[in-house]
Amino acid sequence: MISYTIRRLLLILPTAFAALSLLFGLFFLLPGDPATLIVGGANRNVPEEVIERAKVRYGLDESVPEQFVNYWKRTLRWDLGESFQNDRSVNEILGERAPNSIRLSFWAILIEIAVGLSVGIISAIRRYSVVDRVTTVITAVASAIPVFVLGFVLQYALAVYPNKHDWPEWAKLRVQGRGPDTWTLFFIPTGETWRYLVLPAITLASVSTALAARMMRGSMLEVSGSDFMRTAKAKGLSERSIVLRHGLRNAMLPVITLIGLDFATTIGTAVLTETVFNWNGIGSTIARAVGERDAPVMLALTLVVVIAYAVINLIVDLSYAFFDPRVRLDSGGHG
Amino acid sequence: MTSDVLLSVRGLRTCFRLGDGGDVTAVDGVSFDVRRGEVYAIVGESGSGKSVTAMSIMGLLPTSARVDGEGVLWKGEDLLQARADRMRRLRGKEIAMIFQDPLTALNPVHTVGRQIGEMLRIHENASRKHAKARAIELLDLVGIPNASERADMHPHEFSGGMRQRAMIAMAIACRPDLLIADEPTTALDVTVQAQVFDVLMRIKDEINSAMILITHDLGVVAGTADRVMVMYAGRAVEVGTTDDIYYRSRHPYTLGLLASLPRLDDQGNEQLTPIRGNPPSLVHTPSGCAFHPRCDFAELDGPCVRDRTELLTVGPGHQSACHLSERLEGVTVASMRGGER
Amino acid sequence: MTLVESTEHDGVPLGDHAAGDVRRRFLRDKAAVVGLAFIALLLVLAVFGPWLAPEGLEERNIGQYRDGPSAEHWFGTDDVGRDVFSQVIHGARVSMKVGLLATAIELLIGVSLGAIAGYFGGWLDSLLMRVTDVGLSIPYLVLAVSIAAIYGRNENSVILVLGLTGWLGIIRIVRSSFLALKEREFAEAARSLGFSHARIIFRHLLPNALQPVIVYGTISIGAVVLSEAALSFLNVGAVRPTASWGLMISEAGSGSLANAPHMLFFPGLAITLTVLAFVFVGDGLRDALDPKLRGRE
Repeated sequence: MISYTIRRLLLILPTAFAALSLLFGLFFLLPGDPATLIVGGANRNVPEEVIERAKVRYGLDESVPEQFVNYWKRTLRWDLGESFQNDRSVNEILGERAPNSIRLSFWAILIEIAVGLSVGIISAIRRYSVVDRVTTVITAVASAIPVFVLGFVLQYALAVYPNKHDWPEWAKLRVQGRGPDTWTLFFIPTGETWRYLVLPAITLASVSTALAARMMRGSMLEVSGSDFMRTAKAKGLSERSIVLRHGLRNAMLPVITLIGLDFATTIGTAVLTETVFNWNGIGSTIARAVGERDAPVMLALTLVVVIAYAVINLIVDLSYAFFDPRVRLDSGGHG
Repeated sequence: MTSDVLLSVRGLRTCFRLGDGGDVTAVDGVSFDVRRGEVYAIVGESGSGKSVTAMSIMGLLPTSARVDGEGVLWKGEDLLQARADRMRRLRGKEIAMIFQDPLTALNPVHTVGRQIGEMLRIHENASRKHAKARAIELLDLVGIPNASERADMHPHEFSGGMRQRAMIAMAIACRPDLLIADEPTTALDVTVQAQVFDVLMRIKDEINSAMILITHDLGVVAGTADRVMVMYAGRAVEVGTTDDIYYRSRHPYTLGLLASLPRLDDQGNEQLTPIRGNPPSLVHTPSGCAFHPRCDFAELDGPCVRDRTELLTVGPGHQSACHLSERLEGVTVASMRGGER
Repeated sequence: MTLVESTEHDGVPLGDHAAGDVRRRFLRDKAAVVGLAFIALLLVLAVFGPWLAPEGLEERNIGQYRDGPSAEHWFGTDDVGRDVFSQVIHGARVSMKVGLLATAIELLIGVSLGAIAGYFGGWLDSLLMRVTDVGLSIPYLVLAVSIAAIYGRNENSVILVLGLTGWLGIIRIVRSSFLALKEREFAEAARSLGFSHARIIFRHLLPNALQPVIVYGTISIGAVVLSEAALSFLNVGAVRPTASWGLMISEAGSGSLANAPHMLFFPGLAITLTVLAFVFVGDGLRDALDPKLRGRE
């Protein structure tokens, strides 16, 4: 187990290297000279020497291979540079945005686990009942509706409308930004912050919850046809024991992987939700950085996301081995 | 009904509803008795309904199945009328089942010790510690070495034979009065089949339980069963003592089965004598006697094609469902092999 | 006299796979049939849209800005006076084009690479899996936004982006199918007869591996439509005058919620129904092709 972990951790390095190098290359393929864009020359004519100075300032006058090498030299020292746009230290930007993404993802995953799993289990147990049919429809719609549309709809239904129509104070939710941004224990919102958290978290959770519910239901149904379930019944176990003690442990396995991966991906890709609710997280920051040709920000934040994804993946694989005793970790790990 | 009859199955009929609206009758009017301490074998090929019979008794079939009959009397109580919680208390405690494939029949994520101990926890309210201790004892009883370490292992870490022993241990944990063993050694490697079978028989004697042994292998039945029921297409075609079946068989199917067995004294270059034809479709069973399309003795313009078969007494405690069973008196297996009749 | 296999444990005969049975099973799935009908409608709109829509792609109604639904404009008008109903119809063409082409590309790449990885194994397989890992670890939107920025904002770059990133999802599925299939007897038989690798892959193994691909591909079309909408919403997709549903929503923005929700609602509904249709059809195909999977949905 230890050697497997170490091997996987070491694998992260070449993966990160390959990913970043790819992006580095892409960046330089992007149309528009970065220096020109930086000094605002996209829409107006800027004097040559201003552009030249920008180039020197940001090291853009060197050849691409040189820049590549320099970039990696600095990154390995964790010197992520400054934003091309506003000279802020990338570390600072990262420190500001990362917690937002982590918190939002955390709550979205909690919702996914609590709601998704229980809905899946219940609809499997009460297969073909009204509850099952209704939830099937709801989960299908939830995974089909575009996240940003859902975000807007929720905004309207639970924030704009109540505000307009004077609903009681406790029911009003907020839709832009993070509010007072006060937290305890890093994850728990205090004060008014929760009002700003609710809708983005639900929106972000929607698709994954729907998928988790479907997968949980499917997994439970598949497990319920297994021989060992019949054995459990033959032993005289109650319906409840059979489902919870025997069925669930087995049915959970693929769902755990799904949830872990969801956590890994939402941290970096919650762009749509972040945009709709103005929740400044890593995703929207990266998107903006690409648009503004802000290389240091784009590369550094993406690097963080890539590493986080790989690490969370590893944790998921390790915990899978914990839950399923049949899994032998030293056999590769690629399904 | 005599006092040592534990289980009395009367006219058991089990149908499955198919996805496209049709019905399959897997068990069509089966009756038999099992007495205390005896080994009752149910023999037949795949699709004959032998496993479904057992599952019907235990109530283990899915809801798409309908189980009917005059009665399934367990110690006088009709299980077909029993409520769900009564069945639950009966399973494992009074009647226990041993399944064919221990790899899939045991839960892969729980340890073997825990699965065995579970029996004691639910039926005898044992504490976790006590249940574990008993589980280790039971593993020892079935001949698994290093029982205390093995109890903490998972099923996939056991070999096939040991897994089945563990399953046996689990089934007898509460000393049931009846064990139903559904093809207990079929899924095992040939080299361990005999060993595991011996363990099964030994244990059965030790706890003094009756056993219904379900198998397709007539060879296994010979040394162990007291009475035998041969099934075909969901019906009983011959019932009797082991000797009746082997030496005085009066049904073409049984004769066919016996004739198809290879024998130790075969020269080795003789052809096997299979039963011609294929097992019948349970959706479209042949008219009259279900076996007639494959029967060498059938009269195709007589009752074989027309009339439904019933079990008729052909000797003391010996019944056959063949319309022409009288003709078969004296027919020996040897005469059937090599094509002579 | 029929020969029907039956298992001892449940006594229920298993079905067979003739094409007629597949069609029959599919048609019994009501949701799938409705989905198929909707897709047919979309295709009609995609092909004949310009003739069916009441107003042209760039037609504007001066003075009628942000009007709600009315008899004249069934879905209302947007902020420059375009008829939303017509715009939604024009958008169907964009969605179908992007959906079908991008899925075709991703399947082509994914199936080929998956087959190669699964069949040949060894270093080729490892290499492809590493590449897949790298591709999967980069946030997909970063790739999409970057590539869109390189090739400019138009339908074709969106198709390219989605096709070039989409194969990551299908490659593993195809690979596992091939890994399993190549060990089976008929593959060994083919090898022993001296068939070339290409022949074995394409004529013998691929048809068997296609089942999950068909299901995945169908659902993928819907997923691509969703992604295209997302990209357009983030302003890296097509630009006006192309009518993309996502772009319409982006233009509507949160400002429209209070007084012009129709600008959001109708394109949003169109996207949702399209995705649902493909999901239902995909599920229906899965159940029809392999009835043993029924009940696990």
